[in-house]
Amino acid sequence: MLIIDQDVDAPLGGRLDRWFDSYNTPGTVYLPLVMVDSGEQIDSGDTSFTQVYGDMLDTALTRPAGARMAVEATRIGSVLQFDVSITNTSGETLSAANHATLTALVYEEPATANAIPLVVRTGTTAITTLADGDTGSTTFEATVTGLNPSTTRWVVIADYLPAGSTTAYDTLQAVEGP
Amino acid sequence: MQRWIVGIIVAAAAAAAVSAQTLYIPASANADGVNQTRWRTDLQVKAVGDAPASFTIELLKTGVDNSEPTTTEHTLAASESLRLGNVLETDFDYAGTAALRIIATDGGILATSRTYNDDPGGTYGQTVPAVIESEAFPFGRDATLIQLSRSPDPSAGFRTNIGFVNAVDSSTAIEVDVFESDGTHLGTLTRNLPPFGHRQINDVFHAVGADDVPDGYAIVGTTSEDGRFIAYASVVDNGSGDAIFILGGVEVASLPLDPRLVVFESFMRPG
Repeated sequence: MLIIDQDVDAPLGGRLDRWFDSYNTPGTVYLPLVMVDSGEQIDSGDTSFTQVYGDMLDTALTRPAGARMAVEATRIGSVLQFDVSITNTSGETLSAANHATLTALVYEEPATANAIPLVVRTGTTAITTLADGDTGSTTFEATVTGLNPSTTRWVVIADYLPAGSTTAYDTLQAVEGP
Repeated sequence: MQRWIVGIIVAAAAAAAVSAQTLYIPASANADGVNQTRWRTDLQVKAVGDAPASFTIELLKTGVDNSEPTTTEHTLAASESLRLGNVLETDFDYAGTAALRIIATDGGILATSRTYNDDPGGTYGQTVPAVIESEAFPFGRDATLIQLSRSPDPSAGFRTNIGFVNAVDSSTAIEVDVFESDGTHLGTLTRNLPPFGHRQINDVFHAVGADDVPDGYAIVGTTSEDGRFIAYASVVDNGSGDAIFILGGVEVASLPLDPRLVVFESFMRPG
């Protein structure tokens, strides 16, 4: 399980869009906006945080992964290159039609113990056609200028818009490193 | 779509997300059975570690909607272990069968139970363990129950009862496939569990029309996408009434292929 923050006024990697895609309701929303599994579950505003967030995580932890994924990240100058191998086990073909995407969220290890890291860089790429059961590989990168290599951390999230869902995305699998 | 995002002061928002500990005792009784048996359940709860604990017990009556269950509260001193004898009677003044939902409202707890025939000549019965809520089976993952039997002789061999607890606050449809040990499919049963409902199918092999099944198994799943359930079997000796309790297990083939990394993302205004 990984808990990460983003600045709502400077969102990165289209992740805030995932929240709003799931919310899909006009009008005012109240901070914090939170989600697991790319918007498969969301919540917002003042709430019974421990209970509500805990229930969200408990539910998410019982769900099966929709992909097997291996990620190798290499720092090359000012970029972090992600080499991803992914096997689709979702039961659906992944493609542009269901907005299948790989997103890297890059953050620095917090200096304070128990602090929640803040996403500072991202990279993203679309998953081209990958039938259920098939394995594919791709490479994409995130610019990491100014980040200390020794404290740079990342998570790569594979997600898509499942059949039957008109707006809420779902995470297939995620891999963190180093 | 226009977005309006309003910040509020949320001191606790960044706190680690840890849910209250919730446990289920899938079966309990305070009921008279066949052959003058008197079934009772003793519940044991212990505070873990060196801290005191508080917990509630919710009575999930068999066959009804338990969205608003009767609840009792208890407090444990640090390291204390509490035995609640015939808990359905003493805590709830309830006669019948039920599941129990135990929620640690403060601290952590360990729980187990025994359901037994309170015979004057000596008791016999079965341990019914507590099941952590997160171990309830979701849609897409089946529970397998093995070591099941049925004898056509009501005074010899065994009979098998299968029970379920709904772990969510909405109806959950349950599907039970029953097999002989060689994989021969004997039949399918469906039941609907109301919110936090508890149900039991007695003599499950007979319910699918099977007569003599020395060794069998059952696979239980839900067809409700939001459903989550706990499944168990009680295999009863027809001669003595003694029973063994079997919790639904996960077959390796139905486990997720990889450990799943869950990412919790929050969007806030730093500072």
